[in-house]
Amino acid sequence: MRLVLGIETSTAQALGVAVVGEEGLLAEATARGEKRHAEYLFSFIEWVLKSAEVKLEELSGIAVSIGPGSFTGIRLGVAVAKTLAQVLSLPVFGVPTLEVLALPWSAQPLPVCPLVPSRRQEVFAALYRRGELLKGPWAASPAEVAAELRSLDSVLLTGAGAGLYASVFRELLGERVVFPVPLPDSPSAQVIAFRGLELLRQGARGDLFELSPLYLRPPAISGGG
Amino acid sequence: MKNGRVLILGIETSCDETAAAVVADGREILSNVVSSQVEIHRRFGGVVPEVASRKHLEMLNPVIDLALKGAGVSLGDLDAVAVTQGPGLLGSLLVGLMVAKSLAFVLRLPLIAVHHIRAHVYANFLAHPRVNFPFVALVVSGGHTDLIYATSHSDFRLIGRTKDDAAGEAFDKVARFLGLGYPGGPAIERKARQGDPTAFPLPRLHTSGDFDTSFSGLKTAVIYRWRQAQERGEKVRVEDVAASFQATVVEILEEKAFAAVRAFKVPTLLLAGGVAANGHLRERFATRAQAEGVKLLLPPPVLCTDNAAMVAAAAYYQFLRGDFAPLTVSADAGLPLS
Ligand SMILES: [Zn+2]
Repeated sequence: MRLVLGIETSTAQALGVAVVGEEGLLAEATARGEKRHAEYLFSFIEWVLKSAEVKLEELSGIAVSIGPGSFTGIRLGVAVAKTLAQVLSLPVFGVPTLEVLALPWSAQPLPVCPLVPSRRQEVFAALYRRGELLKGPWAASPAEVAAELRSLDSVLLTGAGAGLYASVFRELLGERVVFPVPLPDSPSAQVIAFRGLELLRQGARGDLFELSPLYLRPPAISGGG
Repeated sequence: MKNGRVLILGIETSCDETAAAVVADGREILSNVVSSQVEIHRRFGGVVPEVASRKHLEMLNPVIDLALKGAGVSLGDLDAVAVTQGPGLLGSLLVGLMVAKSLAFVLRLPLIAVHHIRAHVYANFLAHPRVNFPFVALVVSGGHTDLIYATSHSDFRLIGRTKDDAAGEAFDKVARFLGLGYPGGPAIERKARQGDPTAFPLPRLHTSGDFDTSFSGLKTAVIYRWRQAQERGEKVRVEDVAASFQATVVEILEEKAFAAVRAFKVPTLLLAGGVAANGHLRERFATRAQAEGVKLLLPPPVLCTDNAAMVAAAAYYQFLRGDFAPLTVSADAGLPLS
């Protein structure tokens, strides 16, 4: 029986941990607020494993969202995922955060544009259809992303950026944009874990030394003075 | 104590060195791995926090792997995991902290949160067979110029600090002004060897009654005097400026440190931190200590700069008194000494 632990710390919208197995979700814990990611992550992991009646040693793999999102948030999750994989000798899989937001909409035909708020009034975005990346990812202003979507007849927007910039997209794209109701704004640890399980089934290697974050932005060079 | 001795894995990521080490009984270094980012930050003329954090995440797991292999120790042999909690760059500290928490969580080991400046002091416990309390310690680095009075492993008191720039920071800034590159300490020391410290006089130290230091005025004086000399068409050698600046910094540190030794009536003075690797400083302190009958202890240069062996050494004494951190512990960029 394959068991995968999923970790989500890549955005301010959620701290999430989930364990999934072949028969489905075993346990999941989620809370809002980036500030507490570093403090509560291990309490969440402990609770989820206990609730699922899974021992650490029984895990078959680790999956973690790798961004784009909050630089610090991404690093927290990736550092923990890598180290758990190192100590437990497990494969570890990185799942792009935008993919995590798009995956729940894979079964319907509309193209999906997940949006994660970035600093400076910008968003991280990409275009997916049926779980496949079509365009992006971009780090751009909502208006620039809207321009990328203009050629589509219809597009589903999701993620916290969709809620935040709904009016901008409505104004620029009119009837072409569709918002799910209620609007799911946080990447789900469960989705990450299921993606990890799928990669495990496909025989992906999941080498911890190859796992790296998807920052999508170079570091700001302001501290060098 | 799984093997008759306490084995602690130390992790250090507070600034620009990614480091892991295994130390037995707080004394014997079984491995000490440091992956330096100096080359990466050199082109920016200083440490760029976001660049440092990214590099730590990339390097820390392989560095830990090397430290364990180098020590001939497996994860199951460890008695505790120690990590620098602060002070330092928050994003960098967090990488080390989360990795340490992961290890402690999976291996069910105590987690020991270590103060970075205390850890510097403990480099002396690695380097010398006996270090007796009480002592005064001077920790000088790019980030700190701290004078500490310690009466026991659990009683460290900060008695003086810099009011502005750290000594190492002053070295960096003056080196950049003189076009000597980064990091400034070694660059200035190299130039100073061919210089005359009296050829470019700098203002003498105004001794205030406390043990605080200040270096920003000195840095400004170097720049002002240099420009003045240029305007007057005087010939000034960079070597002389470097020598004079270095001598003045060391003189300030020396005055404060030995004043503290006298005030607190301690027989021993400890030096630590990256700037304590400076050859001129080591010589001057040794001469002065001998003249004043003070026992001077300093670590070898490799233990002066940031490393994880010192973190594991400091953690050993916390281990003995059961000073463990919960897995909810946060990194603290401005962690106070006590
Ligand atoms: Zn240091």
